[in-house]
Amino acid sequence: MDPKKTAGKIVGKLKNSFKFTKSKRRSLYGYLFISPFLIGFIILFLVPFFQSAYFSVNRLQITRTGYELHYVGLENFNYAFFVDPDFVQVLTTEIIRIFYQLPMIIIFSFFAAAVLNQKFRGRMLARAIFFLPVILGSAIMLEIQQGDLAMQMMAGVQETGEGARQALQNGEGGILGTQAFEAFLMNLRMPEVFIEYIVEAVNNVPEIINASAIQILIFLAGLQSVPSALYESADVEGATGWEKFWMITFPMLTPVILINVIYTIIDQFVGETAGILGFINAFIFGVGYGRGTAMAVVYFTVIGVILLVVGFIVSRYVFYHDF
Amino acid sequence: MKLRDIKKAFHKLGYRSRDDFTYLLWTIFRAVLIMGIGYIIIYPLLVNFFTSIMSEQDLFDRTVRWIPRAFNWDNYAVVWEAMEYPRALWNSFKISSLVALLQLMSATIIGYGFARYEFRFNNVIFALVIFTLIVPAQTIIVSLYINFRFFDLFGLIPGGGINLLNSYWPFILMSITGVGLRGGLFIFIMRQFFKGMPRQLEEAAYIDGAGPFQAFLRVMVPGARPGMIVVFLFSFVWQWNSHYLTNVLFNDLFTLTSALDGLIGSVDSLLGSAFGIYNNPWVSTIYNNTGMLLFAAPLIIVYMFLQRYFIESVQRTGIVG
Repeated sequence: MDPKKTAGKIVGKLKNSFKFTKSKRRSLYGYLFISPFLIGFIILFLVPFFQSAYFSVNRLQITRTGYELHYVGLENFNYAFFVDPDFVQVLTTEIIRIFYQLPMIIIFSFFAAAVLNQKFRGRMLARAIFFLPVILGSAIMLEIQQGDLAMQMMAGVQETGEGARQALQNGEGGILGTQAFEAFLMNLRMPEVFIEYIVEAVNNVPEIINASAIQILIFLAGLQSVPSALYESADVEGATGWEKFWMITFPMLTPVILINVIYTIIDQFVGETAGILGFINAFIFGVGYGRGTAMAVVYFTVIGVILLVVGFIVSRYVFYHDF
Repeated sequence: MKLRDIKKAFHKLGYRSRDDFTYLLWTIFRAVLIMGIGYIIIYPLLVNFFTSIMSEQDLFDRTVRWIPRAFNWDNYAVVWEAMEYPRALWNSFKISSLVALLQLMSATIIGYGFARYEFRFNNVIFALVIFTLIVPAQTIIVSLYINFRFFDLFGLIPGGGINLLNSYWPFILMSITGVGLRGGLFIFIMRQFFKGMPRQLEEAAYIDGAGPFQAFLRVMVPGARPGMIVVFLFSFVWQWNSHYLTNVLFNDLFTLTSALDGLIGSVDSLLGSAFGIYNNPWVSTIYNNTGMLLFAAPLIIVYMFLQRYFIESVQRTGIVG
């Protein structure tokens, strides 16, 4: 036997085993790094999550030493769907809101990012203002603004006459003076459904703009990460701006669209500003823990399903560019 | 032809080609658009400000739109006192910076683990991180409340558990384990950031004899500063603006959000008004707007100095892959 060969074999084996332990060690380190999350997830998320699911089939009573549960089966869900006069309506309103606001937010923020990405004087100021809603988005503030007289009135003075002011005090109209706008569309003899949708969209302009700040930021980051070499070679080929947008910018940004779709749902429909969550909360801390929790479980399931479906559809069109 | 005249005028101004002309049109259109959107964003602040310096008669005065006839700066003194402003501000600052710091620490550590180590179920566990984001706090709030009320770690702590409510503990525990307010998002940001950093950095550190933790602390963390700034700022702002969890788990902490929430009530008892201004939207709107402005002011002032950081850091986080 050749001692050199044997030694080489042994070294190779050692190397292999070292490799094995190394990868094992690495995975151990990996678990170590994420261990805070694992602990928090189990104790502060998973346990409460299943407990909540369990509460939703129980009636819960807080006692001096803890709490008592009385099993009631699906009664709480039955209540949410068939007894409570408002829940189904609130839920459908929220779902409809997802389907018309989500596209509006994505399209608007995409467009705004494209504009802000251009070079012009005062660009920094424009960006600073566009991202201001990030710090002004407190749920408490939005809640007060909704019922605030001055907010509604100042919006309404654009329209003349006592009648307009009266109407605005009753909560009609909006920042853009939509009554006149609606009348204008009526005069054009457009179909009523169409008018309603447009007026609704216009009425929601401030809401959409204020909900888009972070999405714009993310799109902007995406726009700047598109390699300029792609545009340069397109220029050489003589592509127009329109073609460059649809052939380069848009496909390169599809992963960002996916991120933004997910973020928008989390921000708008799981965050504190979602109207339905206030409704549910009133139940949780008012009428009954069980009923409120059942509603929350229903809502979470709906959101989860929508997110999965939308995420799946969008991700089918996502284009990943390999360098 | 009118259009031709316009074109001629532009030609004289130095715009030669057709492209120049469309560019000019686009520039004007863009300026109008940006100003319009900017106005819509600033609008609530303008309303807050101009209403806050009005007196009741200005609201009735039809000739007054923005600038009041009878300036009334006293509103600020009243609201300042009713909100217990210095105390509320300090409390808000305390909890926000605590949460932001801890969330930053946990997100950095956890995000690094996800970004750099291959272990079984890496992707599955990361999916769970995202999962925590889509569950509304309302879904689990009751059991969270109960768990913190009788905190016993599955019976590890004897005596029926300890009451952690109305203390910083719920926030400390949730932030440090990455399941706090939008904790999953911060883990996501840090993971993306670390993924974008070159592997050679660590390899060099390993060759120099550093262990995994040293490599992380000495090499990766200093390099991850832009991502960490983003996480800290967002965590701070969201905690500052958040009311729900703080209100339920730490009801005794008088923050700016609670001050703003109960503002009209406290103004009422402060002024001792006989009929209550709850039912008088004309008066309460003045105080509400003053309160909203005072609530937003600290963040706006900080934002004016930091916005450059804010915006540029996000662009450098590699959040988009």
